[in-house]
Amino acid sequence: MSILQALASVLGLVFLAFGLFAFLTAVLGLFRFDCALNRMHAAAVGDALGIFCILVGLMFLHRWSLATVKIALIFLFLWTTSPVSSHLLAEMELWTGSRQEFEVEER
Amino acid sequence: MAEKPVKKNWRQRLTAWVDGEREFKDRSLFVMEQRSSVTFRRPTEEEHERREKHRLRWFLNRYPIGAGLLGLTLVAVLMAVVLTMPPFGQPDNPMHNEVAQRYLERGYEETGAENIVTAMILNYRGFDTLGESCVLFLAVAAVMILVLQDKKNTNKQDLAQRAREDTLLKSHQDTILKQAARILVPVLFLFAIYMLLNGERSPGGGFSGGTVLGAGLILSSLAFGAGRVQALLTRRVYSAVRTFGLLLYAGLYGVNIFLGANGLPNYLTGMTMLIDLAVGLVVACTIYGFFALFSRGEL
Repeated sequence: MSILQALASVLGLVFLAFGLFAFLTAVLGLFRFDCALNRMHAAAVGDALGIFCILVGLMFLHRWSLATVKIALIFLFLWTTSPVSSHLLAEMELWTGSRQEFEVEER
Repeated sequence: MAEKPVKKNWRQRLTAWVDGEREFKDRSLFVMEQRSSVTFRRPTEEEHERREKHRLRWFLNRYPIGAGLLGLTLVAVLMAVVLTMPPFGQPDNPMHNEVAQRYLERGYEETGAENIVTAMILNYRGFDTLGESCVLFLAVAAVMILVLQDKKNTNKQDLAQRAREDTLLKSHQDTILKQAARILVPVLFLFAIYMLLNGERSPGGGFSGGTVLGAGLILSSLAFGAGRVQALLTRRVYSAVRTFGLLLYAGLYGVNIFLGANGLPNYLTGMTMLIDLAVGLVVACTIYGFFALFSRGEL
């Protein structure tokens, strides 16, 4: 195993770990926040950054093969669809949700 | 009780009892109902509340203990079951019998499907999948019975409301969704067809491919308006496709059964592919039908 391959493996594992961390923060935010838009913001972190990191990590682990191309296609699909669905959800929330105004205290 | 009890024979008394006539002359039967009104007193509001609170506290104090005991019992039972299970992956486990071996060895030549899972669910256990397709078919039929709005059960008000909703939707069309759908819908349809036709050889097949096809239909109906899909997929066409899928499956499987259910890949080489297609049509119609019926009440 050459140094390049070892480097790719390490890089892939680092990306995977960071992606898992991003998903952890996303789930935490999804359960802890109150307002629907805040929750969507938290979930979007997982949808965008988490998925990006995990798929890039998997691509590094797979090196150069057909699986890499398939993962790239999955990545494209997810990054196309998830912002659109988030946008629709946010729009629906703006239309129908209760209009509460939150005041932020300055410290 | 001055009057004399009227004598009745058993039949009259039975009919009276069945009819609910309370004509018991013997008042001694109703002794239980006569309470002295002094001892029994309705509890006041506060008393009632206090009693309820007391009961609730009693219940809540014991609830965690009971729940914990129940949970521990369940865990113990499951652990006992796991301990008696055969170890994972041993070659002499009861599931590694001649059935699995036969599927693996002769699955291809008997069914013509390279994917053993497809061969199993569509051919060896085809009755099961046929039943599932029938369940989906009947589910759509039942939903149609309940919520379909056609000429017979709509009046002018409903029509006017629908027209208002349509204009509202038309004025609020989402550009982002439209542009995304313009890219995604062709890809979705292509991928669905690929999955349907290639289920014989790779993972995928009728159920997943049909789901993707239905999702594509739903997406295009959401993005471009319901009219676009309805122009292509009228109610008549929809019903025809749905019925055609189920009939194709039933016919092919019936042919397979009646020609011996064994060793006839020479007759029907592409049978698995066709069955996949039939299942996919039924599944796609089910998903799109649910969406259309529940969102608009029409197809």
